[in-house]
Amino acid sequence: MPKHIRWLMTLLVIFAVLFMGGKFIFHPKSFGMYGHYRAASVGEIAAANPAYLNPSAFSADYPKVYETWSAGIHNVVKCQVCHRPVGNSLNTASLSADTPHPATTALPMPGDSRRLCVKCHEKIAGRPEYMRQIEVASHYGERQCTACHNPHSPLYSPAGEPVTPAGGAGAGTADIAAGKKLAATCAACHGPVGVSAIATFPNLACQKQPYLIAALTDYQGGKRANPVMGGIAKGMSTADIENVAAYFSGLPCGQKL
Amino acid sequence: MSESKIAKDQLGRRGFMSLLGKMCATTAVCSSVAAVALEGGAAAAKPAPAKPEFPAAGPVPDYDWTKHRWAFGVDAERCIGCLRCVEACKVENKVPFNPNDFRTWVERYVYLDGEDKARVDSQSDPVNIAAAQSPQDYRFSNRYRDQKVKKAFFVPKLCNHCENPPCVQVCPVGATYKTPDGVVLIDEKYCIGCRYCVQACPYGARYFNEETQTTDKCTWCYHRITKGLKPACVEVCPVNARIFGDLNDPASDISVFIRTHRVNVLKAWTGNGPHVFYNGIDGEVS
Repeated sequence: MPKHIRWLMTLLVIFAVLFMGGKFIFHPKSFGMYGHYRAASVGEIAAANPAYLNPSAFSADYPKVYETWSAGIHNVVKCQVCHRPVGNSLNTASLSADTPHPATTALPMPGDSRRLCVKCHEKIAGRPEYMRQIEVASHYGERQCTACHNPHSPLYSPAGEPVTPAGGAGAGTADIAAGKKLAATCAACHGPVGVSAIATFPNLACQKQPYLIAALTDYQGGKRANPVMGGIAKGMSTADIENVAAYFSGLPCGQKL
Repeated sequence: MSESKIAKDQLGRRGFMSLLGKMCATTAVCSSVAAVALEGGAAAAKPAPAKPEFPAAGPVPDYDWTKHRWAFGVDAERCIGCLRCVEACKVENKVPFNPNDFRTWVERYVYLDGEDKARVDSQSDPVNIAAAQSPQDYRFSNRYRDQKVKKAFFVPKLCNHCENPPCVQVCPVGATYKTPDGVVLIDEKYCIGCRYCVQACPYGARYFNEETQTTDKCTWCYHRITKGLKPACVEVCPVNARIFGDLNDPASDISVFIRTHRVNVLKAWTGNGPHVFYNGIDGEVS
C-alpha cells in the first residue's frame, strides 16, 4: 500500500475511535431511553415548585377573610389573582389542604384598586355582556373601589345603582359602619331605611353622597337655614358628615317605607 | 516497458481489489468496536431492567405518564380579557417580565361597524401597555370607546401541544420532544438556542428567552399537572374560560367541554393536530 494511503487510513481510524469514544463519554446516559431526547429532562421540568396555590392553602392563616370570600360572588377569583403569589420557595408538601403552608409566606396587599379591579370590570370592547362592567371615567370619580365594595365579597346592583354595604360586608367599612351608627339619629324623621314617612321630610336613601355632604356642611355653617337640621349639623364633625353621607348614599334606591 | 511502469506507479485492478478488501475489513472492525462500546453499557444493564432513577411508568416519580392524555380548552365566549392568566403564567414559569415574551397571551378581535376585517391587538400592543401603566402589568385599554363596535371577542392563546409537532421535527439536537401524555417539552440544558423551532411553529407559541439563551414555551405547567394540580392560567381564570383535563377520563372538564361545545382548533389544515380546543371564535382567528 502506498505510504499516503496508509497515513490516511490511520487518521481515519484515529478519528473514528475518538468520535465513538467522545459520543460514549459525552452523550447523556438517559438520552434515547424513551425517544430522541434526554429522559432525565422530563423529571427536571416536573420537579419545579408551583407558585400558585389553591385558596384552601390560605384558609388557616386568614380564617375570617376566607369565610367571607368563599361565601361571596368573588369566590371565583382565587387569592393570588389580587395578592401576588407567595413565592417559589414553597415545597409541594405544603400544597395539600391538611398541611398548612409556612406562616412566613403572608399574602402581599394589592396596590391601587382603581388599577386592579378595572382589569376585569372596565367596560371595553370585547368583554362579554355577562360580566359586570363600569365606565371607569364616570364611576365615582377617583375614589378607591374598596371604599364602597368589599373586594372579598363585593355587592353590586345589576342596574348600576349604588351598592348596599349592609352589615359588615361593606368594605372600606370603618366610615360606613360609623355612619350607620350616627344615622340612628336621622331615623326619627328620615325613616329607619332612609325613606321618610312624612311628606315634607326628604328621603335620604340612595341620595348622592356629594349632595348630602354639601347639604350638611351648609346647615352647619348656617349657609342653609333650618332650625332642626342646623342644630343637628352643628354637633357633627367633618368625618361624621362624610360617614353618614357614605351610609345613606349606599342604601338601595326605590325602597318602600 | 511502459506497461510495467504503469503497474508500478498506478493502482491496478488487483491492487484496487486488495485495498478495497482491507478498507472493508477496517470499517467492519471499527464499527463493531463502536457498537460494542455503545451497546456495552445497555447490554450490561439489561439483566437489571431499566435504570433505577426512572420508574417503569415514566421518568417522573409518582406519576404515570402512560395513563393520561392531556388537552386544553378555551371558551372565547366567556373570556373577559382580564389577562390574569398571562400574569399568572409569567410568575409561575419565571417568564421574563417584559412586554414581548409570553408563554400564553390574549388577543382581541374587534370588528368595527363598516369594516370586514378584524382589528387585532394583544397585551403587547403599545396602546395597551400604556393603559397598564407598567410593563409588569397587563390590561386591555378602552381604545374603541368612541367607535361603533360590531363584534368583538378575546382569544387566549398558548402552545397547542400538537399531535405532530413541527417544532420537534426541526430540532437538530433532540432538545424538544413530545411525551406520551401529550405534552411538548423543551430540555433547557440540551437546547443550543438555534431558534429553528421558533420559526417552525405555525402558531408563534415559542419565544427565545434572552436570560437563559434557550427557547421557551408553554408546558401546560407540567410541574403542576404531574402533581395533580391545574395549570396556573386555568387555576386563576375567574370565569372558567380556560379548561384543562385528561381526555382519557370522560368526566374530566375538558372531555365535558368538548362534548358540550362546538369546538374547533387553530389552523387545522396544517395537519399538526393541535390539542387546544376553541369555542366561540370565527374563521379569521388563526
